[in-house]
Amino acid sequence: MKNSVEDSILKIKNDLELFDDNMDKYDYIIEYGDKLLELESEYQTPQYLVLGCQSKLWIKGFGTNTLQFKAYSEAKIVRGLVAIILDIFNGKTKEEILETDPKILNSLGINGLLTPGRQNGVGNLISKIYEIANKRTDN
Amino acid sequence: MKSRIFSEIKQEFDLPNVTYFDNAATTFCPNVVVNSLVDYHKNYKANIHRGIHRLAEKATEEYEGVRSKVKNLLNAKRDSEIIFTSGTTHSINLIALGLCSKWGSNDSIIVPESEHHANLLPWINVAEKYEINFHKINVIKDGSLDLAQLEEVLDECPGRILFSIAHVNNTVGNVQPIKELFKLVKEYEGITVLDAAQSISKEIIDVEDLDADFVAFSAHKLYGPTGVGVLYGKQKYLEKIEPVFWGGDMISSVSWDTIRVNQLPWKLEAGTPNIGGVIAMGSAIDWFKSYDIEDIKVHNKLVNANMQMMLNDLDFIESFHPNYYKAGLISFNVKGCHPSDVAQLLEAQNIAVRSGYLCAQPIVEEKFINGIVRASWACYNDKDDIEKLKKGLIACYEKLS
Repeated sequence: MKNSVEDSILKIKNDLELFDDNMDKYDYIIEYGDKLLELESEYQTPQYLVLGCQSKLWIKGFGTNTLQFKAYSEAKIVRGLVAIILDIFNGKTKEEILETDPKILNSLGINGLLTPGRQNGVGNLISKIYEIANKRTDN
Repeated sequence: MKSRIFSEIKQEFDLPNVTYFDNAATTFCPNVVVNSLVDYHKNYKANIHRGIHRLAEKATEEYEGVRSKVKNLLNAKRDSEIIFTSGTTHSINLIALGLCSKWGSNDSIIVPESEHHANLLPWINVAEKYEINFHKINVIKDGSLDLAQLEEVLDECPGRILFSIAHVNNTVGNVQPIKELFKLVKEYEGITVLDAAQSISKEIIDVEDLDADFVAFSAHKLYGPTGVGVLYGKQKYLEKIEPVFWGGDMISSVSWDTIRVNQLPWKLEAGTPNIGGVIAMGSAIDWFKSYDIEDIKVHNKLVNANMQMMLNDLDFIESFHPNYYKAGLISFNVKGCHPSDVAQLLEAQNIAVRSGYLCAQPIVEEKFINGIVRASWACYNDKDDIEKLKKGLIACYEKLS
């Protein structure tokens, strides 16, 4: 199980490397957005808001033994990027998440696709995921 | 002022390989400006006003020489009315903190609701701190002010009045009828502040003609470097400004008992300023003035018309404003697409625009919820750039809709 976060990252990394053209990568990212578990509108409140994104993004963690994250953003590229990142962390335990060095996500190579504003947003999203995992004491 | 061939203007820049439509954020520097900045740092980098060696004298002469250039650009009366700052934000904060810190509940600050944060937050800050009345004036669809409301507010102001407004709005690009607005404010003996950040490279700014008591602008939106700008103030108002920063160069004598502040303009320029930046701003002004401002306005109108036509051609574009003249920028949305997605996909096609709330969050969020996309041009943008933007927008719509 310990390698599963790395396995998920590797799979996405291999997929993204298939595209030479940035615009094609975006097709992949946008389509990935369809997999996002959508956070219900009742949770789209300041408490669950990720700061630093140009488009509003909310995220909430559910579950006890393993975590499931739901998120919502109106921007399709953000939705796709969030879906990719949550795909990596969904179904993992608190320990598995916290043991993962967030730098490993850099190997996805999506930073180059991100403008700085959004890069901050994704950085803040990852911090939020760790924060949610860290607060989970009931497993 | 001499007339030069506008179509060759690109040759005076080493432009990066990008279709750049974010000129309202900052413009590129022509080579002559870059060279003057490098020249200072390489050949005569010395501190000003102090040393009696050759380099210090040269640096002081070049630095102080820029005051006359700015004075002439704005048609001001005296060099001492030109204060060098770090930019528009610094300039406006200097007025707010240095002048309004002595104001109180009898006095009023008036700004349009559509202002950039730089011409909004400094006023809100001092209004809250010193219990000054703060009034925001509504804007209507084309970006112009609700004049009836402005008059009503002015009528009700009991004490001192300060009215501050951007000449060209940074979200919708309309040019405000400054002369008319300031004339009205002057009937109430109000102080007039002009935020010329967007207009400095697009409009003629004549402080006498406009009756502007203060003008603020940044060099980097006038083909100059970042980190340097100007506060112009009529002498009688500048004299009322208390120094906000204290330190070297702004004093005439210091003892344990008394501090005597220097005269204008130096009393408002504490510490070592951005010497190279000021000198390069001077080069930018020289370069800018080597073109006839009327030619620049014609070029703007042409780009404006071509841009509007291009957007009108695309039925998936929502343009928010009627066909009035926009000085250097146009804002829009792609139907059904988030502005940040549009900017991101344009970036993937090597096209730079701005998206979001454009540092005017209250008004943009109120009117457009998710923000807008802004394309802003400068003298080096041409028809090819507009064609590339058109193709880029079509590709965005195909991917995102």
